[in-house]
Formats: sequence, structure tokens, C-alpha cells
Amino acid sequence: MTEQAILAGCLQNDAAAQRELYNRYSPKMLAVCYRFAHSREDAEDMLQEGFIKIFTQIHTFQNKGAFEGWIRRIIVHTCINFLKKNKKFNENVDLAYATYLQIKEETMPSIMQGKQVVESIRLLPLGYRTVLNLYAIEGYNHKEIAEMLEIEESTSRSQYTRAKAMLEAILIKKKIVENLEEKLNLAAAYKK
Amino acid sequence: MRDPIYNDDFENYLQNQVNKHRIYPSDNIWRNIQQEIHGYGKWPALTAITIFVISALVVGTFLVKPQAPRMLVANIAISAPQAAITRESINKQSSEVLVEHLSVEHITQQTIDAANEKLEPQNELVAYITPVAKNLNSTNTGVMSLAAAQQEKNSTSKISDIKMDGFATRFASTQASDKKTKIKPLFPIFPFDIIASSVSSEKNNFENSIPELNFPAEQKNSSYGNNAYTVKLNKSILTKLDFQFYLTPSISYRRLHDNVNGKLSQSYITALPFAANYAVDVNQVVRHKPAMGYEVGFQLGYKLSNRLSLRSGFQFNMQQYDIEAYMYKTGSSSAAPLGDAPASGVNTNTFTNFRNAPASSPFTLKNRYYEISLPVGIDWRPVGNGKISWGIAASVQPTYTFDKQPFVITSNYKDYADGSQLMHNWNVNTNVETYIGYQTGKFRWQAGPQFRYQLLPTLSNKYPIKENLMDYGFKIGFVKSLK
Repeated sequence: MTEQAILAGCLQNDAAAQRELYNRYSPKMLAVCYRFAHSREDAEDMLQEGFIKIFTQIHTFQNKGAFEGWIRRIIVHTCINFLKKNKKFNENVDLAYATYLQIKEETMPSIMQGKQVVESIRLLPLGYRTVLNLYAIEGYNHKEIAEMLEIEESTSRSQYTRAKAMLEAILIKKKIVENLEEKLNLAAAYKK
Repeated sequence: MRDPIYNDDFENYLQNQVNKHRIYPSDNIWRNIQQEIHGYGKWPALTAITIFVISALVVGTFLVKPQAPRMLVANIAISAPQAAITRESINKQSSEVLVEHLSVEHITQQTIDAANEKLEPQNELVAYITPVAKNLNSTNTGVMSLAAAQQEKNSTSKISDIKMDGFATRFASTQASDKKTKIKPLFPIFPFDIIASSVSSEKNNFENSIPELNFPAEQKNSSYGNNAYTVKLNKSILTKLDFQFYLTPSISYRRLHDNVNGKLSQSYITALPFAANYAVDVNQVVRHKPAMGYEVGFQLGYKLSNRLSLRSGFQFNMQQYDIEAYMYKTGSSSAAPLGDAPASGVNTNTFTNFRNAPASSPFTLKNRYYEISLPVGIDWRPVGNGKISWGIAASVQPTYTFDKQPFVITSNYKDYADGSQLMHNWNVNTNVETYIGYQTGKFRWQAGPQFRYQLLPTLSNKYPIKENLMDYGFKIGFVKSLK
């Protein structure tokens, strides 16, 4: 089924088209939710809420950009709203926090690196993790992030800087970036 | 959004790594989404249960209330003005009180005045009634007979000295002047069936003598017109009909067989630590745990003879069983083929979090089906006297499954996945049972074992493993004749 056929079916509230859309995008979108969420259960709740929004608001999609991008934006906003219910994004965590993390040092095959990177991101404190996800991976700028999380733009910048440094430290400690260390010069950046 | 050209190496690296990541959601997420968008699939179940309960109550109400007297009271209500007895008075007063009140000895001037006052609004009808009473034989109504009897009994009656006005006066004098009056005691006459039959026999006289009482045709039909025949007809049919209500706690087993002659088991066998060139029975691969279900329903029976009946009715079933499975660890799931591409040309793939092979996280999957069915069958009681009997019965049951959430084993025998999309809505079941019956009053109580078998596979032919359900139950119920 083509994307246009799926879109047309979903606009007519066709269950088969909705199932096809869900099957196609849910694994990728659950991975997005998982990076924001505290647990797998929370991630599934976010995904469920997000897809309900997608199916009920699909008529607002105007075919101007990529359909996946539209879906992804809805999922990300759902995740942020989910987190905002109980959490604060203003918290600052000392960079030294990374050194206290219980990280098992192991060498992973490259095929597992993606999952390990995700797990490393999830080790970050909530505020850092959220800002890093939004800026580095989802591509939002700091102004947008500040509006979404209801924080100062400067706070977003500082949290991203700290999150980035902390994640680099974690990746090095876990030896996930062993081969890229030289290329990215992460160790040097961390020492600075 | 930020322009990607401003991404540094670290951000590019993160995006490359993270965007490869996939997590497959569990099956219930889609179910929840679907329910949220398209409503709850369980509403049909509630509707069916509601219809069933209402039907049972209606049938039960008809069984509890005596049929014939109810119809005849209705007749009396229509012809009440003729006899000056309303349905209310019949219902409220006992027979003895009625006798006492209607006896001439107790009719005083005060009584007559009071009666006249009450009857004042019905004067016009009373005017009609008087000539009717003249035309009728003495068997017309028990009340008339009673009055006449009492008058004859008191030949030197004081009544004659009493000035009698209105309906009561005319009523008594009419009866007294009729020499052909047959005097009958109150109770043999009063029962409604005699009233109905006599009224029916005098129908023509009624209508001919009183043009004003020529009601419209529909009103005639609804009143005393054909009720004598209706009662007879109803009685003859009702003697052959009975009603059965039953409840059957049951446990569900199932029989699986590979539709492609054991080919499916090859991938499972090759996954085993040893190589083997033989087929594995799918029933040995799954770990089935029977669970308690039930059937509840009612049937109408038609007696072909004293020992043989045809039965048909409505039944609600709930079948369930458990499957011992294991969960994949958090964040992972498996692609699960449901169809068998080489055999059926259909490759139905899905994703699942439940595996068949033992692992560290055991999980019990519950397959539950809600069904309604229309059993049509035969009931034979070869042994028995009036009190205790033994019988056997069998039926065929077209069945509609309106709520189903089956987990089925994948065609490689490695996982369990949601099979609801492949499931048949309609199926056919059969059941056989044997029972011991015990008659107490109007009810025959029955209890005995029952076996129910699902004739068609649970899932469509796209799914290469056939599942047939078998229920072993113990049926308890009662049968009551409708006569």
C-alpha cells in the first residue's frame, strides 16, 4: 500500500489503512518515545496517545512536507506533553554526575551501537536528555525548545552543552565510540 | 526547525546511530488505539446479553402467569358493563365476598341506592344491558343466575316489597320473570370459561338485538369474538410445547493440526540444538491450559411424541483457555509469520513480544471468545417414568463470535501473535449430552454431562494451523410445559 493510499484510507477512517500506517511507523516512533520516556511502559503510553492524535487529526496534514516528519512532530510533542505533566526541565545536574553512573564497560559489535547509544542517552537526567533529544536528534533550535519546555532559551543552551559533554563521557566510558574517538576527538572535547 | 547543515559531527553521529533504532510495540497498544478510535468492540456483547436477558424475562413472565384465565378476564373486562362487574371488582374481591355482596338477601335499599350512584355514569350502557339480559338464556352470567336463584329461593321474598330502581331492579325482575331460567349455583357458573363460551354462543343474539353494540370489526376480534377458539387452539399447541432454561459450566480444550503435513515444524526442528528429520506434532509444541467458561440459554421444545422432542433456542457462550508463553526482554520483539507462504501463497507477518520457547519471563496468554448461537436439535428420553427419566440430546449450533482476542502460534512455532484478523466470525458447533431428569411439580430438572465440538477451524485458511475447540461441560437446567 502506498503512502498516498494509506493517507487516503486514514482520512476515511478506514481501519485497514490505519493498521498499515501503524505497522509502518510504530517501531520507529516507539524508539523516539523510548528516548524521551522513563520506561518502556511510559514510552508505549506516549506512542498510544500519539497515534490517537495522528488518526484523529490526520485531516490537518496538508501534504506540504514529509508525512513521516508530520507524524514525528506529533509524537515528539506528545512525549513532551506527557513529561510536562509531572516533570521539571529546569534542573541542572553537575557534570560530574556522569562519572558516578554505573556503566558497565564492554565492547559492543557495531550493529548494536545504535541501541547502545539510545541506552546511553537514557542514562542522562531528564532535562538534559530532553533537550539533547530535541536539539541533536529531532533538529529543533533552542528557541523552539525553550517554548516547548517552557524554559529560558539560555537554559536550553546550557543544558544541551552539559548533556552533550555528559553523553560523550558515557559513550567513551562504555567504549561505544572507541573507533570514532579519534575522528570526533571526543576525549579532547571532554577534557576541555 | 534547525537547518541540518549546522549539525556538527557529534550531532550527525547521534542521528545516524539513533535513527536506526526500532522498538516494536506490544499488541495491546494497537488494540487500545483501535478501541479509542472505533469504539469498544464489546458493545455487541452487551447488546446480545441485554437481548438475551429481556427475552428470558418475557418468556419467564408468560410462563409464570397463567395463560387462559388471563385471556378470559380480558373478555370479562370488555363485557363488564353487561354484568355490572368490573375487572377491578373481580380482582379485588374474593369469591366469598362476591357471593355475599351479590346475594339478594343482602340487597337493601341502601345498597341499591349506592349501586345506582356508582352505576350512574354507565346508565346508557345499562339501558342496553337490560334487553340483552332478556334475550339471553339463564346461562348467560353467573351473576344473573345467582340473582334468579336467590329470588326463587325467597319466593315470598321481601325483595318484592323493596322498591328497586335502576340496573339492579331491572336485572332482578328480568331474571325472575324468565320461567326458563336454569338455576345454577354460583361457582359452577361463575368460572370465566363458561361465561366466555356462553357469551360466545349468544354472540349473534347480542349483535342482532342491540345494534348499538355492533362494535367495529377490529374491536370484535379483540374482544370475546374468537377467544373460545383461540383458547382451544392455544391449548392444543401449548400441550406440545415446553420451555427449557439451562446453564452449563464448561472447560475448553482444543485440537490443533498442521494443515501442510508437518512442513511447518521443520523450521522449529532446525532451531532445536539437534538436527532431526521428523515432523513435530503442534499439540506437543504449545502449552495449553484449559480454563473455565460457560453456556447459558433457553430453548423451546416441540414434542413429536412423549419421548421425542425437537428443540431450538438462543444460547450465549463464553469459552476461554490459557497458553503458557514467555516475553521477549524489554525493548525487543520478533517478526512473527502467521501465514505459510509456500503452502498458501499468503505471508501474513506481524510482530510480537511473546515467544513459545522457554525464557526467563513466563507469561500467560488468555484466549477468550464470546459467542451467541442458535442451537437446533433433538431430545430423546428413552427411559423413564413420571418421576425420573434418562435422556440424550444433540444439537447443531450456528455460532457468531462477536468478541475475540486470540493469540495463535506462529507458523514457525516460535512465537505467539495476535490472530484476531484471521479469525472467522461465523462457525458451526455441535453438542451431545446425556442427562438425568427429575420431575417436581410442573418442572423437570435435568443435569448431565455435555460435550461441544467446533466443526470449522477457528481461523481462516490463510493460517496453516487448524484449531478446533472442544468443551466439556455439566449442563443444569429445567424444562416446563407451556400448557
